[in-house]
Amino acid sequence: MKILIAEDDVANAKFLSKYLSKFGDVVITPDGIAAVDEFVNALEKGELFELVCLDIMMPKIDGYKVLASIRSAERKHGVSRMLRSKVIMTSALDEASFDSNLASDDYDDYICKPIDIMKFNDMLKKLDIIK
Amino acid sequence: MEDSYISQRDKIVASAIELIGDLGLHALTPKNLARKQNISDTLIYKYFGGIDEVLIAVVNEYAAFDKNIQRTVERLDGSFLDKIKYYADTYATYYDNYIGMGAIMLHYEELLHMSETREIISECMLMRNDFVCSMFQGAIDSKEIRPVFSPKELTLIFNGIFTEGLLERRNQYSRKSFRVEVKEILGHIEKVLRL
Repeated sequence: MKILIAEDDVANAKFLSKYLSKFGDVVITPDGIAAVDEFVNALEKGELFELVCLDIMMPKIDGYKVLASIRSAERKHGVSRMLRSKVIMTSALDEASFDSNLASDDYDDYICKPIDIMKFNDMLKKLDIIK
Repeated sequence: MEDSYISQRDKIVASAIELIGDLGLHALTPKNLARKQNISDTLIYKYFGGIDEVLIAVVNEYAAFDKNIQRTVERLDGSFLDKIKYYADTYATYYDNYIGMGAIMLHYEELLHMSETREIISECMLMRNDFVCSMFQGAIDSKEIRPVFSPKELTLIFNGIFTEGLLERRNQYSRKSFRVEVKEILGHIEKVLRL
């Protein structure tokens, strides 16, 4: 399984990477443009990130814009809604402040930072990413 | 290839922030932006009426998360001091990892003198100051800290930590993270003032 972590904070990225590397190959990008770049490069090679952990407050372009870009890339490459990447948005903002309108139905779940690993694990199970 | 998925407008704003961070506000010209984007000057005008509009977009981006951060902090469980620390940590983390965005804070004075950005930056500054001030007021009222300083004075100290800290970081990139520094200084202030 390919996993993309789009996270500018090194400590958070390392934390997520350490946990998720048990389940697949992890790629970390430090800003929004690099995240889209990485995602599209994989797509062009016929590979799809099964899971994307996407921070909202990121340099260059924010997580909302990254989300819109990667969904657009998937559509252009003919990836069906069922097979598209699972996207978990992450942020220091609480759930009520997370503007789900901006993300519409393009994301799969949302978790507040600092990440509660038990909650995150349940989320991965619910999204059928891990058993 | 990824170019077609990120709007040119967003990329121009991102480049503008980077330019300001690297070379200062005066470097924000159509020519420099076009060079950075590897596009022609004229293409900038397809997305923006002029460099002033780019600057307005940059300042809007700078303040984009303010309201949501404040709402999040207000709803946090914990003391007012905890809320102040969370608020500081959120911005410090963001600026630590986004040098260009942190640089905007150091250009307040110039942005206040530009008619296009004056209102937005002024509103942003006042809103941030009022919020921090209300948190310190809460900390004093609930007797978390001694009233040695007024909330307004504490807000000035808080802002000073941010502006001076960001300025210092730009001089010495190798030193410890801005986030860690902000955390340590606020910890020291807490020790001195806590009841």
